[in-house]
Amino acid sequence: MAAIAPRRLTKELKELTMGECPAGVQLLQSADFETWVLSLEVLGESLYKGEVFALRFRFEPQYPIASPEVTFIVDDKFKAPIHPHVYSNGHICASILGHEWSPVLGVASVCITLQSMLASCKKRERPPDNDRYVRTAPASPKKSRFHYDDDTV
Amino acid sequence: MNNFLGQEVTDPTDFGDDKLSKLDASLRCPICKEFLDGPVNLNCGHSFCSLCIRGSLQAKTECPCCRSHALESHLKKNLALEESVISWKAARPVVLAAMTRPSSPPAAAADDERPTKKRRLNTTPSGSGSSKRSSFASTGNGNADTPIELASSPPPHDDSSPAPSPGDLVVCPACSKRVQLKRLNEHLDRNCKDTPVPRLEPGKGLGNFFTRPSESNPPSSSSSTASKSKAKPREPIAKFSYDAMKVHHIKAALAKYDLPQTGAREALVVRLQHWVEIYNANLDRREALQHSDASLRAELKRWEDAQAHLLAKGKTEVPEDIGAYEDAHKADFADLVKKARANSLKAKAQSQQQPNTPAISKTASQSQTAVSPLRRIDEDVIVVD
Repeated sequence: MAAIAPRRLTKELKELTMGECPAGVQLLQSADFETWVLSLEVLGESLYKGEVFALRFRFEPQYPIASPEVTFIVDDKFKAPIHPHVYSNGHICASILGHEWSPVLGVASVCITLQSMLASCKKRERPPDNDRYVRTAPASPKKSRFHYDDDTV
Repeated sequence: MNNFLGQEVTDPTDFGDDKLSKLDASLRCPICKEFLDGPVNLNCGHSFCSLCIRGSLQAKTECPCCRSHALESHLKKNLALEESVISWKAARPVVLAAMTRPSSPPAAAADDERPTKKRRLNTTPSGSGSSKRSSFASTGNGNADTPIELASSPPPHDDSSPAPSPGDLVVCPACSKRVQLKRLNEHLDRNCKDTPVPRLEPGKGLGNFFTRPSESNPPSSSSSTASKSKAKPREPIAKFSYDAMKVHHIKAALAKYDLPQTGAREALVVRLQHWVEIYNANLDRREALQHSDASLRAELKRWEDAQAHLLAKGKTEVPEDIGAYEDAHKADFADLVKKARANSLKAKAQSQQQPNTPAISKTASQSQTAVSPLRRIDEDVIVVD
C-alpha cells in the first residue's frame, strides 16, 4: 500500500494543475508529497465574501487509505475563518476528515466540501468550546476526537 | 514533478476531450487512480483493484464509494471489466496518437456533429464537412460491428436446431476455425491463437464451466501440504485470526509460503497479513497476468522495505548505545544546559523588575501552548515568596 501515495498524489496534482481545479481553489505550494498548501475562497454570496483562506494538507504514507491532515493556516497572512466548526488554531471539525473519510475522496473533493461548509454558514462564530480546545489541542487534528453533532452547517 | 518516480504517470486529463477522459477515468480504480488491476466488484456494484479494496476494507468495512456495508468475502472478480481495461490500455496510445495528428481529430469531428446537423436543414456549404464526418462514422460503425455481426449470425452450416454438447466441434465466430465447444471460450480468450493442447489449469477460467465435476479439483486437496498446493491451481488463503495465534503458529504459516520468519511477533503478523492480501489479490487477476509466488514474495519484500523506510523517516533516530552517544555529545548537552540556565535567569530578572504584574501575564494568556502559562505561574509564585 505504501506505493500508492506518491503516484496517486501525482495524479491529483496533475488534475489540479491541468485546469480541473475547483473554482475558488488555487494550489499555492506542492513541492513534495507530504505537505500541500491551497488557497480557498468562497465564491458567490456568503458570509465570507472576499476573504481568502489557506488550507494545509499533510499526507501520510498510507494516504489515501488514511485521511489527510487538513487545517486552515493561521499566520500573518492567513486567518482561520470564523465558523462554528473551525477552531481559531485552524483545526477543522468535519466528519469527512475523521471517521467518514473514504479513499475515493481527494484534495479537490475536500476543498469543495469545505467551501460548501463555509458557504452554508449562517452565523459567524467560533465553536462554543473554542478556548478550551485550543488550549489543549494536539498538534495534529487527527489526534483529537471530535464529536460531530451538527449536520446542518 | 511528474517524473518523480522515473516513470510516466498516465491520467484521464491526457485527453483534452471530455468524453474520452470520462472513458479513461471509468476504467480506473477510484482508490489508486490507476487502471484497474485485477478488478473486483462489491455487492453494491462498485469496482476497485483487488489489492486496493482489500486494504481499504481492512481499515473500514464499507464501500469507499457509497458507504454500504462490505466485506472481503463479498469480493467477486470481474473478468469482463478486466478485459475492457486491458483493451483500453492497448488502444489508448493509438487514440492519443490519432488525436495529435492534425487531420480530422476525432474530438473535433464529434464537436462538429450538432452544428452541422442543424445547418444541413437550411444550407449546403457544410456538406463536405458533414459527409466527411458521416463517412468517418460509418467506417467506425463497420469496424465496431464486425465481431458482433459474426458472433450473432449463425455459422454458414445451418445446424442451429440441436444444442451442441460440450465435446462437439463448433465454428469459432471470430476466426471460423472448428473448435470444441468446451474449448471455445478459452480459444476466444487467446484471440484465436491456438496452443497445441490447451491445458489451462482446469480449475480456472471460463473453459472449466463445462468440465468441472469430473476431474478438475477435488476440494480435499486444499488443506494438504505446501508442496502439493503449488502444483494445484492456487486457492485463496483463508484469513487467519492473528490474535488467537501463537508465535510458532504464525511462523509455521509463514514457512508454508516460504516467507522469512524474522522479527518480532508484530512484524510477523504484518508480514503474513500483507502476504495474504497480495496473494489473494493476485488471484483476482486473470490467469495469464497472475504473478508467480516468487515475484509475489519479491513484492512483499519491497513493500516491507518501503514500510520500514517510511517508519524510519517518521521517527527521530534513536541511538543504539545511549552511553556512547552521551559521551560523544557531552559538549552539546553542556551547551544546551548553559543556555537554558541563562534563559531562566533572564526571565527571573525580568519578572523581578516588574513584580506587580498579575499572575498570568498578557503574553502567557495569548500563547497557545498549555505549558508556558503554567511555567509563568510557577515563576511568579517563586517571586512572591
